Amino acid sequence: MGRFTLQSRIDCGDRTTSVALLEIRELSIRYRTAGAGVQAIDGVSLELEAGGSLGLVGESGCGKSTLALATLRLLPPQAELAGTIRFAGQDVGGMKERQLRQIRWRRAAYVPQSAQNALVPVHSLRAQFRATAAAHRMRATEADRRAAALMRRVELDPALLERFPHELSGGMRQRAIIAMALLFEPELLVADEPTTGLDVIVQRQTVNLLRDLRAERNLALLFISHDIGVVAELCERIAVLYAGRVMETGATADVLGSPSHPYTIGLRRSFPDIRDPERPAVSIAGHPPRLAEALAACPFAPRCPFAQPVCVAVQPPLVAIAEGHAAACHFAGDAAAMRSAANRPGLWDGARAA
Amino acid sequence: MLRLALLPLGSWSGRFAIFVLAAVVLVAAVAPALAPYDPLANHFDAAGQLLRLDPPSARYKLGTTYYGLDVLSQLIYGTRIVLVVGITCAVLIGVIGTNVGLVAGYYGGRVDGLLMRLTDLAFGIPFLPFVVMLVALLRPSLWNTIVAISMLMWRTSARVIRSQVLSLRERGFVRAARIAGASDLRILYVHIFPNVLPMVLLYVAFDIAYAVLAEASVSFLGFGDPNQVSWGQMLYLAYVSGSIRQAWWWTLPPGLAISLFVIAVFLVGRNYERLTNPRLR
Amino acid sequence: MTLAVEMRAASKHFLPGRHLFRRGAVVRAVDRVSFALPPGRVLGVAGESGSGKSTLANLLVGLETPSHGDITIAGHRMTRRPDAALRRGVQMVFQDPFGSIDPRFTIGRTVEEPLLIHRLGDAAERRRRAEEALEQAELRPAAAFRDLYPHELSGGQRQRVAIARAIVLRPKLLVADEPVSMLDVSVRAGILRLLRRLVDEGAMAMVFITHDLSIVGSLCDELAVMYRGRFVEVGPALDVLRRPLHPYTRALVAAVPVPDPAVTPAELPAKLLAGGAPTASGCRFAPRCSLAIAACETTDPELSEILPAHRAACLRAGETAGARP
Repeated sequence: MGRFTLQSRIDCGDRTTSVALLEIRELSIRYRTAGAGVQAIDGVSLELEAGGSLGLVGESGCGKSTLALATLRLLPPQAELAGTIRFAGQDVGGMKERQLRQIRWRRAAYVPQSAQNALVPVHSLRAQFRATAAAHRMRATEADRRAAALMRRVELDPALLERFPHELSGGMRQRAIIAMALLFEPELLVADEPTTGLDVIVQRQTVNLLRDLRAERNLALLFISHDIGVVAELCERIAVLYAGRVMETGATADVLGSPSHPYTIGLRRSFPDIRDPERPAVSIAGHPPRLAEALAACPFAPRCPFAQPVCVAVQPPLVAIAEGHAAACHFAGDAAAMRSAANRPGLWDGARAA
Repeated sequence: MLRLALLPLGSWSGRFAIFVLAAVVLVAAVAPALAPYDPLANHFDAAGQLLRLDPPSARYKLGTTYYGLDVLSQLIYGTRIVLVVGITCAVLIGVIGTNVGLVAGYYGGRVDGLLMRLTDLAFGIPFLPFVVMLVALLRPSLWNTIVAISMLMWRTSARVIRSQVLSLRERGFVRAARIAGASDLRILYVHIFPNVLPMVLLYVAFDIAYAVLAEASVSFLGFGDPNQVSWGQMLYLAYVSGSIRQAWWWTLPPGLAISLFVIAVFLVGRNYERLTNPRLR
Repeated sequence: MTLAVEMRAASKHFLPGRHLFRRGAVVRAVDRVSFALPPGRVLGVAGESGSGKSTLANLLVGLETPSHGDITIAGHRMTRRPDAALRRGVQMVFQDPFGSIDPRFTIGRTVEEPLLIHRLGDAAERRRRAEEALEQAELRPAAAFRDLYPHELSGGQRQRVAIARAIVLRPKLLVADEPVSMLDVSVRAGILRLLRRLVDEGAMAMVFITHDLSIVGSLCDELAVMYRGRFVEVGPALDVLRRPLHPYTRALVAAVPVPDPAVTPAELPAKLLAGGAPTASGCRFAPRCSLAIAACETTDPELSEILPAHRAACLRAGETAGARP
């Protein structure tokens, strides 16, 4: 399968010798529409090591799903791409459909947002496992054998393979989809909000399952979520997206432990913490912009309580503030001061109501 | 509302359709001024003989029929029948189908069961034989044809509207109105009906086309109103007089006119469908 | 002072769908639930899907009629056909901010609709009250929002419109059914704070239904945890969250993700995840409970006070308070 040659240590300090499994360089994605168009992604660079995990967080409309779909080139035809996406050293952007099929599902599988719609309602799970296998020239007997093993692995009774999707609960469907994604032992799992809409206990089960699968299969994970809590549990690294740009990125412990971009600080404050149930969360007033084209300023400035005149005039570059931790804010150096000011009541209320 | 009415103008097919429909309406409105002769007046030649099957000429631009009637005048007056049949049927079908769908979908339970079995019954009855039988029993007249057509054709829109109402009924804004204490009538006609209106209009458009075709079929089978000139009846008379092969000027114009009108109505409907069905957008 | 709402042993049973050969058991969506809430107080009701919390909401707003027991809103007993005064006494905010507002109405019309239904005031009066409600829901200036259509608003703003519509009749009880679960995390807190402020300012109580325990603490005075139609734990919200007495509550609290990578997430016992149908006479949670003893299979525990004002329906609540789930 070739995956073992690509395997590399998760080593933040020495990046030059390792080959990233997924490497995104200066990626921009623009949707052509009848109107002015939408700049969904604007100059994003990210990488994910083999066996590593990266969480993409941000509000809805910040470009998370677009970025995830772009990695497997699953975007609709009206999307225009600029920049490069490399999977295991190969340029995904320049691939033919035939080559893409060698990667999709086989080496990089996608777990979609709504588990309800991801399965074909009129076929049994077994039929769907077989159909997927057949599309990649795997025999039905082999597909059955793997399906049974995978079902057991995701803690589902293999007897459920004869069932239809509507006969399963939401959590069972989500686990069946994860099992199906693992059919060809992929190196990368791209999961778009797989736990959203699940009950909290089922969500916990799904998160723990993904965590264990990653550990035992050296599976790299690109995890999209608005739920910082789930990302904190699953991902070693995190990238905070806003208006199609990376606002802050780094090791999850650093980014959530000492957030250095006002947007991350706000998101962190807006997320309630069950360990401190009395503390009220805050809202970030306003909502993400829908940009017709790339902006030559900080996109967060209109909602930022710390914004200065320079923020609406100059686009802040993503600069390193510590080893492996970068933020795109003119005042990232004053992050400690912003963090302590962030608890001031009324600070995030802004001018407009959300 | 104006935006909705002008929507079909956004595409070539839509503009063509609107042009055809506008032409039909205009012709129907000024038919007496436009038609060279009374459509039911017999014409005679110089010798006093009935002018049977006279080919198109300067005097009779589309020739005459076997019975010595002017084809062009008949064609022009036929637009009135098309509009009367189309619009009256569509209104009747729309009113019956929408209300059956609204009531069945909203109340559910026994009311729904009863109305849906009635709909199944309407689906189970073969359309043309039923209409022909009813018209024959009642006496052929335009009004009886319209009633007979409408009595069956509400079935499709009733089913579609019902399924729409079933999902709308559970939507938050409908539940909010119920919690606020709105009466069933108010919920049905203030909250639910406006949301199924685009679907109603779409089906009304298609119903116009089907009704016109149905009227033509009934007339072609000889059960049309003898005192009215409809395009279907023109074809019927050409057929029974045995002149359908030689007198192309008698059969082609009404045939084309029916096709053009029906296509135009369908095209308008399709353009509305783009609006109501996001998957076609 | 009259209670805003009182539920006395209210139950809602559904007959199962008829199968050709077998008849299922009666579904007890809500089973002997009692609580009382004075104005100015917020009761949180937490539970998973299928716990009966939505049926509870429907009972409170009169969309369903209880099979047994009764419900009183501001002193008026709920009947099968509630009168106008009772209707005005309870309003609801829904989960889906997109489906809960009629896309064809302007914001102003949406908020005026309850007034129109009850034929309150003339056009000018209705407009004044609608604008007042919009202002209260922090959609300011109301005049700027009045003529907009829902599709011109964000999810958070739509939810504020839904709140304005719910308070325009000045209800005694507001039922909020997961009002923030479909909103971005970044706007949730603002909606929750708004709801709390409305309860504090108006003479209104709120029943707040949620599956997310992490937002309960800063909003609710009391918290009830629902499992298979029953309240299995009730108490002051912070007490329940900090010192859950029922094993199910402990599992719910432990399952909540914590935005701190330093914290090791809890492992849930396999028995909790496996589930299983409860026995007819026993505790309904017993098949998933790792603390269950033989008595749990035969005794269905009632709520009893374990700590001051803090009740749980568990035979072992007294001895196991503080144990792992």
